[in-house]
Amino acid sequence: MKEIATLAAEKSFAELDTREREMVLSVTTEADYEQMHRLLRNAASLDARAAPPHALAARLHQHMAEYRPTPAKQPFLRRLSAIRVPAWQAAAAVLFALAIGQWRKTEAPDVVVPAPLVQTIVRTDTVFLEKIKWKERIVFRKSASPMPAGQENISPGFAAEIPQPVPATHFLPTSTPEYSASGTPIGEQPELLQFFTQPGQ
Amino acid sequence: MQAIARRDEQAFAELYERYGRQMYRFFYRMLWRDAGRAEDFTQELFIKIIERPEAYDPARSFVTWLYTLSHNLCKNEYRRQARSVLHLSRVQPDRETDLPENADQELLEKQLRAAIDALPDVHRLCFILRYQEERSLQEIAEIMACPEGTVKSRVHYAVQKIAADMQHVWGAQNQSELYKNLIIKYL
Repeated sequence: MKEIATLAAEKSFAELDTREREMVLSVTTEADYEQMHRLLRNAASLDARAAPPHALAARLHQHMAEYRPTPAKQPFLRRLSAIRVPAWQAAAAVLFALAIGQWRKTEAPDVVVPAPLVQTIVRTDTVFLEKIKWKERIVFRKSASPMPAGQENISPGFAAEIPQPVPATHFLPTSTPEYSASGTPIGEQPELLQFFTQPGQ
Repeated sequence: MQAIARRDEQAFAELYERYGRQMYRFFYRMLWRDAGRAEDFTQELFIKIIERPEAYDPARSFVTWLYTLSHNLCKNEYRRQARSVLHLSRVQPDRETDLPENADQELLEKQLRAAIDALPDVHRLCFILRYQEERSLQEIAEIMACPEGTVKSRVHYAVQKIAADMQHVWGAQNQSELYKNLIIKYL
């Protein structure tokens, strides 16, 4: 079955056969169908008379007559293979290439490639690393001075370490050097006294 | 096309005779009834055929291929238009004109043109191809390179929109309901 829109574009309600009419009337009214038919028919005939100018056809025919297509560019290898040369030229080229090869083989001197000299220079450098170490030394001095008053309650262990004063009996008898005055008293030597004192004193 | 590829002028003349007017009319409708532009585009289309006949794939329908080329040319023109100033004729239909029910044919056509011009480009293309160029939905789908269902919905939208715009012309109060029902069910 045709679509109603397609049907409306083609036929008016009066042109429909019985079956088509039944189908249309099952969906819409005759007036509505006629309006749709009018719309689509008018749309189809709209600008139907537009025609191109004759000059256009003339220009196109002229272009067709004058146009020469440019040959499509082929790949390089294909173009190379399409080149034709006479057989004698090809043979001459081959012979020439062989002759050149032979000549180069005979004429080429033996080139002695000297062994490369290898010189090794060993360089030794010395690097001094200076490291400074800091040391801190703490010296404790123990004195045998008597305990100050109020500090008698020191620990026995520590008290034992305190050296006891040496008894006087342990000292060797010492002799007191006798002082003997020798020389001349300074008062008796006015020149010497004058040396140490300022005049007028 | 094979004859044209062999530079057969007679074949080209026959081809132009067969399709020249049709394609000119299509461009005329698609390019806002600008005769000069339609002529330029028709010329460009046929020059393409002359210069690149090998572009045609014989497996395809020739008419569909022609419309595809034309559609692509129009799309380019729409892009150019979108970049420049909006085309003057692409305005909403004149709703101020209150036509009587037995409106003059000329005025009716004027309103119809305005309603078609007011459609978005893709919908206008679908409507023109379907109801003015009388192409099938399948052909339109191929021309526009989109699914047939998309074409159907676009045609549906286009007819609905035109019907709505023409409502005041017809003087029918239930016009939009009519088209909505008709098209949804049977298009």
